[in-house]
Amino acid sequence: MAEYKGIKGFKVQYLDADPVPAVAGWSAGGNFPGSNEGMGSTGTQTATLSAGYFNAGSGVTSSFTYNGTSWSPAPSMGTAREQVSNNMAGTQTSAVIACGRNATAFGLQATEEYNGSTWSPSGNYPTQLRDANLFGIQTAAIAAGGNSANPGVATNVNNSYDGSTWTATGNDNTTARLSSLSFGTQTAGILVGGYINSPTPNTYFANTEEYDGSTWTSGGAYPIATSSLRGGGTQTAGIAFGGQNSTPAYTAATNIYDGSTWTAGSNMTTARSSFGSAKSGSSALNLAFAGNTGPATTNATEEYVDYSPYTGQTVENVGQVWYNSTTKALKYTNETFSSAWATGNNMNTARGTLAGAGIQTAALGFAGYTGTANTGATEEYDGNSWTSSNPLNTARRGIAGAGIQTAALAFSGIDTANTGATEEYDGNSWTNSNSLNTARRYPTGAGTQTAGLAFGGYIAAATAATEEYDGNSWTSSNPLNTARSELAGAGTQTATLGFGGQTTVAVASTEEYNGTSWTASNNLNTARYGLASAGIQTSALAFGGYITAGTAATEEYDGTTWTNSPASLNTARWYSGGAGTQAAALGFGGDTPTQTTATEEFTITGTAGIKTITVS
Amino acid sequence: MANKYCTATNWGKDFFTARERMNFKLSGHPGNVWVVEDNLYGAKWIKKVSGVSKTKEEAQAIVDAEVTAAQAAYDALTDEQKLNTQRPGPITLK
Repeated sequence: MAEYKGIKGFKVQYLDADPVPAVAGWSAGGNFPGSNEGMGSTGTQTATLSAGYFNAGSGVTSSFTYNGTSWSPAPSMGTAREQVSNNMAGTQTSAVIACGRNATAFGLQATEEYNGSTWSPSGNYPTQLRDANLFGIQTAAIAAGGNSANPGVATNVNNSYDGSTWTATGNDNTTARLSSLSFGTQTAGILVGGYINSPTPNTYFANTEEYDGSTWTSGGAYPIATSSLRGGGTQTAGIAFGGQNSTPAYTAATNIYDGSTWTAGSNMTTARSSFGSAKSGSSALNLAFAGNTGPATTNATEEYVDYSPYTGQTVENVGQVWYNSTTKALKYTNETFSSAWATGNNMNTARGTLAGAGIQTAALGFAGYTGTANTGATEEYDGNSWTSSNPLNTARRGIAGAGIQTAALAFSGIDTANTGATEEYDGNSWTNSNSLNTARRYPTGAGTQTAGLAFGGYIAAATAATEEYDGNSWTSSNPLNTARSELAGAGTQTATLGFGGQTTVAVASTEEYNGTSWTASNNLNTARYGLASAGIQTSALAFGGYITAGTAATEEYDGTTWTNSPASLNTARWYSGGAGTQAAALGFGGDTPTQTTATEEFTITGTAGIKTITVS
Repeated sequence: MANKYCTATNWGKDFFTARERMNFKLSGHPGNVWVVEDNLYGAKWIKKVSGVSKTKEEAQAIVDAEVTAAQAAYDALTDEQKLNTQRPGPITLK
């Protein structure tokens, strides 16, 4: 007989109490002393320092400390300041603040140091600056530029601080910006997001830059261009949250950085920008306090905790078995999943036969048919609302897409005839690229802007043609086993899933592409065409489509088999757009049969629970 | 997913906990308006914080009033004060 340890790798534990839930999320902290914004901040979640805040151009000298429970007044600075959201570095008892703004100057040069009990003046910054980008510690900091002139002009000139003097590094970062987030050390720093208002008004940035002490290199892009976000941590384990974009949309989004990729975490409760954080805290323990919620400022504090990194705690793991020696019960942690489609805010332009790209909180919808004409209309979704962007150069329907919101690919379709026209989107506008070898309508796509895949579609009949895109041109590859149009796709150029569609009738067949050829997999439960999709080859979602009428049916693919989801779209539709992952998908637009603006968000939520094992 | 709406004053620490937020969706909005996922845990939280229930329309009206007031305040700013800031936009409750 197999032993439990042999199966699970550990013995059944004896515990005095049930393990705590594995929690990563936000909880309420002690309120900030006032509803303010634009304050400087540094320190950790349980030892935070705040200094200055917005006061109608005059700034304040006030500073405060947080102990993990409540805020207390701290000694005042010598210089009143505002617009110092990212102008501090160090810890609660060893901090530096530089620049900012008050009634005396557009930008301040004054630098002050805090030792836990008093503020002392230090060497002036070389130029006037506000909304600067500081990181590091009190004796070894970097200021990676900031706001150097009105209206919203940014500099990327870098200066380093040694505890007394600022000196030009000669190693400026690439993107001049203000209202960014920066954290880390003088030799391992990070700069993300930000904004300029000149030369192009309301320009927001998503790019991340990493500094190694001598050179800036590009890091993983933030999911959506955002300014006035906050966070902290290290170059390889960071966290960023909140901020705003051009809508103006204030966000509660939280993202975790692993040194190369930002991954969505759980949202704050209150969306905000220009607030404070635990800049020298960690990606597992951080803090958001005060800030601007859009129409008002707030004093609300939220604490982020990810218990999972901690040793010494007994945290619930799904499948974990233990004996509770207090209650004398054998228990285990199970996990139940629930799926649901929830209504999101509508698109601006009703249309069907459109295409989509991106993820649930940063999606792109483009092209289609409005009911009276083809359209090239492009819209961006931020997880809450759709914003119109620049249209495609060629309006069309029956189009396919790939990529992400800030680097999307659009190809094929029909304007006056089948087209192979290809366009690339950079987060702002579309640029023509080389056409498909085989012009067609109603194919589908997968992959990225620089490694895309087009397959299936309709020429004079359904086609199986497959083409690979390398960021410049299309190359023919091996065809699908089943020629079809109005199918759906998911995945990457080298691990693709194609499913459903129409030969002359609706089909359920599924095929997997490995970068070279297509192999048949298990069928959808419901044959359909004009369906939408999300996810990757081993974890995909199919939803909507047309059978003999529009359907709301949703199916989940696990790499082998399709399973009917208990959740169905609220609005049955076909020829809609799709984006996202299997666990967080987005459906938008489509025919009902009239063209709709309706948006729906799909989520799969797993909930851990404790069960008691009973033996009769 | 259905939501409930209420007003409640955030007293700070433990007004909502991370564990509570694992069990229901919660978002805070101007005017002390809270959008709470309509499930057992959400209802329990509204009771905990002595939330005053509102219809979606009532909650939206409170938020709209806050936005309107903020827009008026923004419009009264000088051009210099408006630099690098944006006029508050509408907020639509889910």
